[in-house]
Formats: sequence, C-alpha cells, structure tokens
Amino acid sequence: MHAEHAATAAPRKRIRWWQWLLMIGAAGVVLLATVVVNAVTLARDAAVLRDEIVATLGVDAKTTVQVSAGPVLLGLARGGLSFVKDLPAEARLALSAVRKASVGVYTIDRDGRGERAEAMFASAATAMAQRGWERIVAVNDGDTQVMLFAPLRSGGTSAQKVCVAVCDEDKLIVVTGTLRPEPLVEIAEKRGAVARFL
Amino acid sequence: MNPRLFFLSICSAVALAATSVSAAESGFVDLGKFKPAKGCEFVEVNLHAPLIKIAARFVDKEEPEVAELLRSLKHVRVNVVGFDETNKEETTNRVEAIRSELEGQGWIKLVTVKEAEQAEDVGVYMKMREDESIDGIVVTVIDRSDDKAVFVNVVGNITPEQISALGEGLNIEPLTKLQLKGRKKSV
Repeated sequence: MHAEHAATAAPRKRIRWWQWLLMIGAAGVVLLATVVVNAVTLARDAAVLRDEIVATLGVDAKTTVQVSAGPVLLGLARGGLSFVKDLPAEARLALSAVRKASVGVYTIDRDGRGERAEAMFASAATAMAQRGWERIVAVNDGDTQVMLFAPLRSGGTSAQKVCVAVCDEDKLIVVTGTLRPEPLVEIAEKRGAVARFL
Repeated sequence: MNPRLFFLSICSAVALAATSVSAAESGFVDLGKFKPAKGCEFVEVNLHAPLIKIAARFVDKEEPEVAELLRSLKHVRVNVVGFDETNKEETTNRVEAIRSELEGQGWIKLVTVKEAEQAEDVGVYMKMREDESIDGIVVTVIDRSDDKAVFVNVVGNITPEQISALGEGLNIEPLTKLQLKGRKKSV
C-alpha cells in the first residue's frame, strides 16, 4: 500500500541552480531599487511637515534637492572620507554626529508668506503633534520662518532626533535626522565657543 | 464594565496624568498661546528638562556652574511677540493679565520697572518655597521702543544667589540686572 502511494505521489520539484541565481538576482534588484528610492525620498516625518507647510501657504514646492541617508550610507561616507587627507577634523566630527539624515530643499513662492506665518506655525505644530513631535522653537522674522521639533519625551537616549523647517525668501528647507550630541559638544569646545541656545 | 473600555480608560488617565505633570509643577505658568502678528517678529522657545540637559553639555567645560544650574531646570519657555497697532493693546493687556494672575496666585513681585525714557516696562515674579528656594521665575517685558513683548517662564530648583547666573546663562537681561543693582522699588 505504501509502495503504491509512493509510486503515485508527484515527484518533488527541485530548484535548479540557475533558478536560485535568478531569485537572488531579483531580490538584489528589488533591494537596490528600494535603497535608491529611499535615498531620494524625504523621510516620512519631514515629508508630513513639508506638505503641511506647502498646503498652508498655498504654494507649489519645486524640488531642488531631496536625499536621505541611513546609518549604512553615512557609514560608507565616513569610510570614504577617511581617505581624504585635508578634510578638517571638525567636518569628520560633524559627520560622526549624524546617525540618520533626510534633507529636502525646495523653491516656493515667497509672496505673502510672512502674513501666513501664524497659520503655518499652527498647522505644522498640529500635524507634527499627531506624529509624536513637539515644537520647541518657532521664529518668524520678516521673510524667514524657522521651526524646530523634537520627539515628545526626547533626550533620554544618547541619540537625539530633530526635525527642522526653514523658510528663507524663496527657499523651503526641511531636515530630519538623528544626532549624537557628543561630537557636537567636542566641536563647540574646540572652537572655544560657549553655545547659547537662547 | 467592558474590559476594552476599562483598558482605554486606564490608558487615557495615565496619558492625561503624564501631560499634566508640567501644569502641576509649582513654578510653571501657562502663558497660553501667542499668535504672531502679520509682519512682526515672533519667537517661541519651549524646552523641557531632557533637552535642557543636552544644551548644558555644551557649556560644561567653559562654565560648569552655568551647566549645573541648567541641569536643575525643568522647563524653560520664552516668547517674544512683536506688536503693531493691530495687536498692541491686546498684547499689553495680556501682560497685565498675567501679572495680575501671578500676584493673585501668591507669586512674589520682585521687580517692576517702568522706565519712561527707555519705554521699557519690566516685571519679574518668582514662586518661592518655604525653604526660600525658587520653584519658578516669570519675566514679562513690554518694550515700546522695539515694539515687542517678552514672556519668560523658568521652572526649576533655583536659589536666589543663582538668579544672576541664570540670567546670564539664558540671556535674560532683567535677571542679570537684578543681582548687580539689588532690589528695585516699584515705580
């Protein structure tokens, strides 16, 4: 009875070596495409901030630069820069402070922006609060608006997340990143500057 | 009771308790929300203890006393509100309302200076404990020459001797003047 069952059972399919190669290749392509797409896409929190600012101002934002780098990419950058002989030590320190970064630079219409600063501040704060961010700095000075956000209950770990939006004349810059303060403290000490945060 | 509803109620209570910690701290003053007037200067800084401690590390080596003082702070809020004819009265009324509220809540009016020639109206209030340490400081300034009002609330465990250093560390001029010239009588 068992012999009959064995005889009638479908033969087990074997994956040939070239099929393995094809699968690995396809996975590699997908991974590479994901990395490339992520590298040219703004991080989600920064994108929400950008979209909220643009929607409140009622303007179009034309992308000038949009790049994201995670720990692997930044590690590769640090490794590459180690071969650069004349790079200032502070530049290396500054790069070592960054764990993750996502930067977007856009061109926007500057007309009337100062008048809509109040609405922009309010809507951005609301949108970011829904994502767990708290506004810690807001500045409106003529053609320049700056907002700085930090996660609620931040400061407990060695790495600090920040999200910054700057509107200056016809430029909108949105940056989010994770920073280690120790290298920045070292830079400040080397420069002999007493940093005032107010 | 529905277990899910019970669980949600507990979570809500915990979240509400967490967010109201600042409000419950003696020395904390809810200055409210400020809206920037069109075309006028507006600055808001709102820092809690963890971020203040990070900032303290930047001054640790050069000014360790200031760094230590900053680490004892729980909350710092600064608002600089520019005004024009559209919101001047509202802003100055807001300053007076805050001052009245502080006096009504038992805050000590340390300084009230109205210098007509400089068009500056300064009020400094502090919340003291029984052991004479300071739980909170509020500084309100109406600067008519620059058309702006300044509101500052610092919450922390501060000694009277540290007020001047606090003013220097946080760049709050009325506090630095306080130590050097001593107490001023109300004008």
